[in-house]
Amino acid sequence: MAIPLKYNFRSIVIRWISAGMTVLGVAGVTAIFVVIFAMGIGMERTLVGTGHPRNLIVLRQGATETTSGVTRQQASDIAALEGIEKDAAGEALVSPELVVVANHPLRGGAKANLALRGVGPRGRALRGNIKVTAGRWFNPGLGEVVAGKGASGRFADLKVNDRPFIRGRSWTVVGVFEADGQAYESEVWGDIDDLRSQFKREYSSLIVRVKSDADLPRLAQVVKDDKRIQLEGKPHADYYKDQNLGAQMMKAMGFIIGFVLSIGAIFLAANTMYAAVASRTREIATMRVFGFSRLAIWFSFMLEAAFLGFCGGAVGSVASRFLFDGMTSGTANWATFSDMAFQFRVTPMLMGAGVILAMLMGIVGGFLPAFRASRMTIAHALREL
Amino acid sequence: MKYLRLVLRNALRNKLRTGLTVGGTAFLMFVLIFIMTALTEMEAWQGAAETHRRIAVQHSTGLATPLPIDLENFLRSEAVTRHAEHLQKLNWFGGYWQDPKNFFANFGADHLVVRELWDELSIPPDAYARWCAQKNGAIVGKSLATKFGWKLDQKITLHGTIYPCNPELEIVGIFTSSDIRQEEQLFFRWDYLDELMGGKKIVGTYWMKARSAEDIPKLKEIIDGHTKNSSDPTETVTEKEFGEQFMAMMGNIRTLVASLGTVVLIIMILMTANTVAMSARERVTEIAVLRTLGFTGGHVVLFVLAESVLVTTVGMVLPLAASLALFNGMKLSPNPQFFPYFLIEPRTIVIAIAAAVLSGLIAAAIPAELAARRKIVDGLRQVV
Amino acid sequence: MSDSVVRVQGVAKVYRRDTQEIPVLENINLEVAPGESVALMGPSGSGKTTLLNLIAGIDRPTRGRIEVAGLALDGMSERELAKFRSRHIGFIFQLYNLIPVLTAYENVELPLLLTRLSKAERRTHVMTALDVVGLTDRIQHYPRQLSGGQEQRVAIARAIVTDPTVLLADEPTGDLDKRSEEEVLILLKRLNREFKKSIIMVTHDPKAAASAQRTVLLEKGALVTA
Repeated sequence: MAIPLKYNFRSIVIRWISAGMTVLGVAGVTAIFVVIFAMGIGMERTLVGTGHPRNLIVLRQGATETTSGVTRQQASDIAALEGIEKDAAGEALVSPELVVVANHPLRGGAKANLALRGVGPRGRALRGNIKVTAGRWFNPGLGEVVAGKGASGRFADLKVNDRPFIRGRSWTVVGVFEADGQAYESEVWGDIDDLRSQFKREYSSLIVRVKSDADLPRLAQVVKDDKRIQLEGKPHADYYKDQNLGAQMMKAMGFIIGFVLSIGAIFLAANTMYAAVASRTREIATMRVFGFSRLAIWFSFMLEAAFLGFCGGAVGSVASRFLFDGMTSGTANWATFSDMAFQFRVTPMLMGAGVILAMLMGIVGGFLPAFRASRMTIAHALREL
Repeated sequence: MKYLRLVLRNALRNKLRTGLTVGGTAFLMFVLIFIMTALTEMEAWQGAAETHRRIAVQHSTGLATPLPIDLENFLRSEAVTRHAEHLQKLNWFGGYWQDPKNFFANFGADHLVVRELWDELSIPPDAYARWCAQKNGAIVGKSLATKFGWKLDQKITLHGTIYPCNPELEIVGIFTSSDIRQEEQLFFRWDYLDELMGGKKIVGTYWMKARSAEDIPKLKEIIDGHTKNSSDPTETVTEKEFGEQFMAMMGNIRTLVASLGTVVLIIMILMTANTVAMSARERVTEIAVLRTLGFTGGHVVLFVLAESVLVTTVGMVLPLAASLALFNGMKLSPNPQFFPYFLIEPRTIVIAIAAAVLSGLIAAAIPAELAARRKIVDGLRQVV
Repeated sequence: MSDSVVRVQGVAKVYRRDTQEIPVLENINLEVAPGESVALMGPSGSGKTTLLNLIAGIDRPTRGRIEVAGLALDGMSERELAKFRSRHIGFIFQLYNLIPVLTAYENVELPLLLTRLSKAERRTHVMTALDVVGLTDRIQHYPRQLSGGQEQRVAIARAIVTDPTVLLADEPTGDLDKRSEEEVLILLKRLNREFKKSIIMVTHDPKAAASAQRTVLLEKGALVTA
């Protein structure tokens, strides 16, 4: 089955205005789809990756860290429970934490809620993969804090040696840390006792490392069953996953919008292809006379349509990658009422999906016109001259 | 006018092409309306307009921090009441009913001033009397009650997420409001909440009504100035500013959504421009003939623009009607938790119509100009 | 003669294609009296259609002067030329050039839309024109439903409906079969003899030229006989 491909390619070049507009339209739809999804993926990456698989977070039932309260008594009761991992010194691997939210100016001037977290001495070890990328870790008792990479980038006065005024006193930023893209990067960390004395509160949560995977659900149940305590324990990873509302909504929006826009793009492609077929009736007839089969004609137009789609998808995906990938943005983490920095993630897989979607748009749009081209009777086509 | 027939017939000349363009525009327009409504709904959270002259006093570090009770003494002093009235303690309780997914606005509020401060709510007088008499009473907006199937006298329990208590409330009244979004609220008594919390006198925010618009800046100065050097500095904001801080939390999302809408508009223009260009190419001779008969270049531009706008306007009608039926009529919402209401505003309708007309004009601008400029003899010579 | 309906003086037309200059007409002088019918003949490429286009005001001469119905065309803007055409020129094309989406009636009515006549008044003129060309029974038909001869007659009706000063016809019978050709030529002759319309007809067909009162020959852009 010989396919007159060169002919198709040249025809596109001649009708470059129409082809160009179609490519741009498809590119636009692809870009929208990719960018929305990139937002969702970025938000999700921040949340879903967070939380060591053997960490339990203990807080008040139904609360989040910003609305929960755990007393020192409760904290020591829990630290004494069976099944908690011990560190090298034989101490329970537990970190009492206090999360406090403060309205703080962003770099652009507007204000947003910044999460300030007081962590116990084992807080960093419990998280794993926390790296100091500038300055050093804080020392307790001196009002020193470290800023997560995301927070440092979004908010004002959070670079090393800055002295931001937060919630009633000045703190000293001694370092910036990275946490593998986890949610902590949107926070500022300090010593738990520093924060407790400043805000006159006890703890908001307890992070606990369990000895084995089996201990995770078991310990959670023990905490829940203890009527005295009125707290609940959740796998730390689940706690973060549950806040994924925003990301899920993004993805859902991406689907709906992308789907509906695709239909629009399909119509655009169909229009272009119909016009292409109509203007080339003479050539189609000639090719048929010379022995190219109906199927060959159909296939060649389908390829042309798919090619237009491919170009549009490539332009849209690549443009999205250039313009958006890695871009840091922030939005509200509604559960904790604080700012959550995330990065747009235009992954290669997403780009590939975009291109495939675009090609599909072209193929679906070109299907009927290609069919029409192949169904044309030679006599009819020649008569049209 | 008399040229309408020509424009209409020309539009219908290639029914398939026009149909595809109308169809494509329709889908794109639907997305545009959807996006705009998402935007206006997010903005609606800002609350009522400035006309009510309400102001809120919140802790300067944010809403998560409670205010001290002794601030109330100051707020009731002559210095403040000279400029404002109807002081109310209002705590966002943030509880849920039965399932954490049943999220709605619930407040512990000073019941004695609810009517005066939130005067756009229509609270039945006997319900109000009951509420004053019953400590664990609650008044509920009609649409919220309908949503959860609550009836008068029904007992409901809220689960606290911020406050460690579970108020057991009895619905003593159902109120309505001209702004239907305000019916998504539940108020119970602040003193009841305080009792459950062991009398700690935690105040979320103070609200009051300024006596006049000019009093507002004065109040901000007086109140914030008084608390500036205390351990609990405040920020006094208007109701609008209060709502805006939620919008600010959304941050970039809003800009992104707006950009999305622009891109959709551009795609719409591309689609129509493609069609107009194709048609114009095919009608070169015809346009030359019209000009030979005495039609001017201006006429030609008019015909091309009119045809384009006709197509985009028709493409706008169906999605507009459909979305009005779906969202305003059937009250559907793409995400009931995030958007309890998803209503198309008059503003959106106007923008949709304007977008249709504008995209028709822009799409046809260049082809129309080219058609009018082409020399008549060149047009006649062309064999299409 | 000052009462000529068309006066062409010293007209020349040069086409510029890229950097090449192609002279099409050179020093044309022509006068047409009111009520005269003139045939413009010449081999292809001799510039006859160009001359017709210049007289119609749809093209501008490189040199020279053209006057139609006492109006000088060279000073006119595009707008004024359009107005001039709608009032004074009736054009008949070789390929009829009817608007395919309009019926025969609507095609004939089209030039009248540029006037201030009411719908009823327009109807009177249209029916009169269609009556003259003998097509009152086909008014609701679209051009694709008409034969070539019928289409041309509709085109002629369109050309006369505004009662223009002069009729210009470019190879009016060039695309017609023998019988239609005869019908059209008889019609044109009648318009000239009976209705006293001035007609300038471009043709390469001697038979068509014979139906005119006078023949003018163009060769390589110059008039051979006047």
